[in-house]
Amino acid sequence: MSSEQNLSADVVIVGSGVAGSSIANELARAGISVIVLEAGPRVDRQHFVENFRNLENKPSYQGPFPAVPWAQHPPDQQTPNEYLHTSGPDAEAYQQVYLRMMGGTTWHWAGCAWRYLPSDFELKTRYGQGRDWALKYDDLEPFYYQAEVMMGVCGPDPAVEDLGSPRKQVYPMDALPISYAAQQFRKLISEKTPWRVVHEPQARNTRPYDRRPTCEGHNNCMPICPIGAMYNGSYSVYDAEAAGAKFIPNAVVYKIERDSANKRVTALHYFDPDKGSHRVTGKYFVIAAHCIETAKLLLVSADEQSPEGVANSSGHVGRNMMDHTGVQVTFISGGEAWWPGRGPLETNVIDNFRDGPWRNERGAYLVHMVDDNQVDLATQLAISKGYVGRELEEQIRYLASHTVRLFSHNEGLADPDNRLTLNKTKKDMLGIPHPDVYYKLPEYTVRSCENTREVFRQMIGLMHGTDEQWTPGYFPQDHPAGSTIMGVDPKDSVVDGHCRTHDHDNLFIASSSVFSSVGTGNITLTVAALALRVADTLKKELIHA
Amino acid sequence: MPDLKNSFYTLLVAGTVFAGPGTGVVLAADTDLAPAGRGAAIEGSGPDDEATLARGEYIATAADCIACHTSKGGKPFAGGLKVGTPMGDVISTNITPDPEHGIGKYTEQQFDQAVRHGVRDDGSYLYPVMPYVSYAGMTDQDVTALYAWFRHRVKPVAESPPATSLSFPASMRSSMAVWNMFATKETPGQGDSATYNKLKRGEYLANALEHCGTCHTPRNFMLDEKHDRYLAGGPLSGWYAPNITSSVSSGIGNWSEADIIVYLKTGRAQNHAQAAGPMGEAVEHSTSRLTDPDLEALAAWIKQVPAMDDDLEHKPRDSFGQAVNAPDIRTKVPSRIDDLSEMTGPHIFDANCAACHGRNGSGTDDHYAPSLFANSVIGTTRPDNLIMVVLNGVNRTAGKDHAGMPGFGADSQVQRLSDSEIASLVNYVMGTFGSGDPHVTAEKVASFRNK
Repeated sequence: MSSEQNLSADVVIVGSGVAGSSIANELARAGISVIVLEAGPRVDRQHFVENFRNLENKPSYQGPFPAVPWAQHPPDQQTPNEYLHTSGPDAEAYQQVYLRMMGGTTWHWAGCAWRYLPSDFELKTRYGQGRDWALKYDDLEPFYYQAEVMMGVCGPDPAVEDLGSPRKQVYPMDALPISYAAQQFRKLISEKTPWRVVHEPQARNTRPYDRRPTCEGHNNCMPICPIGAMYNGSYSVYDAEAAGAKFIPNAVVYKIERDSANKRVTALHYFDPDKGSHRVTGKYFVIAAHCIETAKLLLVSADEQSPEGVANSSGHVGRNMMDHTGVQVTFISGGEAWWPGRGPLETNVIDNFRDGPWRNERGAYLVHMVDDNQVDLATQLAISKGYVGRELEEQIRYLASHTVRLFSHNEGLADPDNRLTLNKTKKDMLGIPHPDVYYKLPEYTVRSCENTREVFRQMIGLMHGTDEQWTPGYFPQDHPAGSTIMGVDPKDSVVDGHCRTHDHDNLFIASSSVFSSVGTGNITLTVAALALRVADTLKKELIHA
Repeated sequence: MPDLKNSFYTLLVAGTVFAGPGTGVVLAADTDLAPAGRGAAIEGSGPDDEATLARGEYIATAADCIACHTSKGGKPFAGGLKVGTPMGDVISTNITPDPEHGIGKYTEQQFDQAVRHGVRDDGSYLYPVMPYVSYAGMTDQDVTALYAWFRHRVKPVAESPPATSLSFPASMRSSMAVWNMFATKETPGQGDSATYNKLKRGEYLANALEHCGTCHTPRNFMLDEKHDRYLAGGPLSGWYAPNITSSVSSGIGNWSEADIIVYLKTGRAQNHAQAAGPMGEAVEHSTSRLTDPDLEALAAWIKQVPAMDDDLEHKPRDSFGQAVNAPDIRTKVPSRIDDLSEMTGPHIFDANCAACHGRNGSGTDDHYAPSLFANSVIGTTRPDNLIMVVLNGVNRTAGKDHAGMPGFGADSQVQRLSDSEIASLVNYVMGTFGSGDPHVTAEKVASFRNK
């Protein structure tokens, strides 16, 4: 079935998340015509909020965002995964979640907006591990700031709290007020350990910004900020539309058409939910469809010209799957009540382990003190201890005010064997195969996690903790990266330093899939900075052309 | 700014007819008005000394010149703010002391002619969106101080906003001469306004400076303020400037002086009302910056304004409602995500309002998000201001105190509600927490967009 519709634009983008929508916004503002194809539906905040309120399982991050049949995404980490099929020794640790919706997965992130460290881009040179990126920190610095302004990032005064990523400007917004729990945590760490707790840069408003209100501390960043104080991709969608970009929801791209020389992409083909097929032509194409879906699309597009998939002469599409696979523990502090769960979810980080000479043998990590409401966990624990009636209520109150939750982001490493492939039997309603991922945690990361566990044990000791509950094995952090890895050599990488595919001159990728190493900070700000840099490249080429 | 929508056209047509060939005569006659003499210097001070400049700055603040003469995000007093009328936008002018683009060449007499008489340096008349009929009540001394401050302390801005370009007949500024002839003006205050007793000072602040009546006094068909309905409320570019007379049933007769003072100082009087839209701006730029004695004087004056009853309001606007626990609308399962069928009022409230104002409408403990009951905006029978707040939000700073609510209109980043969603929401909120369901329709909401 083919449509008569003739769609064409200077630049055609797949995916409307932070990467795709911010590129669309930059290009449209420069007068360049843009079409964005989003596989999922367009839904506004109030429907997500209503879904959240209706859900019984409040901690379910994916719950308020059920997938549509034509654009499936993984259900929660905790449930058997019916879409992203993982295998290998650490299959459980790669059950990533993400959203296929207009605006993308930032509907339910925690707003953590880290810049990478300069060393993160030079892991091989500095530590003999993994890979170097085909760009340096300084190449990205102006785009980091542009991304911070776009999202509205608050952060500490760099003169007081240097987070290790050199800045030319202060943060667009002042730091958040520190919650009571965070104050207690800071005090403990600074008095009793050689480490420090820093204010995590956050894409959330500490003053009215971008026509959105100041954060009120609903403690609900995930699954949904109910008031719009935290950045998500939908704002960039709105901005891009106001500048003239066209967004098409429910447009599931399934084929990347190239010219006879296989050097340039000529069109994208997408299915609508009724499997009507549409062709969209353009001068440039950007795949900004999240690490998993981007690799999947390139593989799905395999044909006679490119039997291993588009942009895959290196064979590295789908390989090098990374994450910040980490360690998580909750316990009951034996000290004073510290009442976590007031304010944003994640604002306090121990950053001492983000870099060091030991990185030549074990991965870096950062530690989050998660400031979330612990009534659910406290109630389970109190019931499991057999309390009833008034004592149960008292115990819930006590435990909820004393629960400590820590988790870590541990540095993954590019390993070609950690690989995304297409499932041979399971397909979605449009006939597009589900993704499979084989995952074995690299030894480099295993050693990092062991070190983290030791640090966590020390902290439990410091806080006279009881009732430790360790997440079995490892903890997926939903920061997948590496599936279209960046490099200088077209033989072992998919894109160059400008995120242009080595194989196709006019095909770019804007996603964490291009990361050559994964560092320790949350990936979104780096995704946005890379995307804005792609927009800059495209503007230069299109305007000069 | 006064709502010119309903009667401006009538006025202008009438004005043109009246003016006709005699306009020149009228103009000539009117410009013969006795020029104000040089105001007496403030006692013990020269004309341009610090005391005079400080007085001038305070008068400019109390008269809220900046509100209209600064565009959004523009340079102070450089003009460019558009005030919509059915004839086109009236665009405020540059009143910085730049000689080419502003009022740098104005003599004090010319300045006075503009401020108190509505006549420009070229002899043509200002559009009455400039409240010179109120400023006419300023003392000579205060005009002198104001002039000195504008000349010496306002930073010149060498740019001109676009000229106002109205369609015929409003394009004929001469028609304004006729209006000017009929319009009722304040009588210039005498002596030193700083020495007035409390009530007289309050009257002076209310009428000559803050020009409360410009918005709060309804206008007759000629757009002149109806002085027999002083401060009895009137429409205002989509907003409704409420009745603030001492009527208990229709005005703010149940407010104490302290309530009025805290409202003017902070923009909110708990369990009474909070300022948004043009009043939010007036609080931000003007009333929050008044001295405490002046606030007391202003409150005392407002408190004694004769009660005017209202056809629609029969019970204090802030006396309605109570915390109402919303019915349980939980389904325990999320709706399918691509089902975007329109939600009902309770659901729209739940998804967009309850996070801050509470499911039971009681607001936050610190009143940052006000309660929806005991709240004039919800208790009034006129849904205008609630519709405007939902569309445009609140953004008000008074001193260090900021109040913010995102808008839910067409350029909202948070949530863009449709006309029918806003109608359902307003009807639900007023029905649940206020004076009753006002039966607002989607068409009515549409008419409030872009006001």
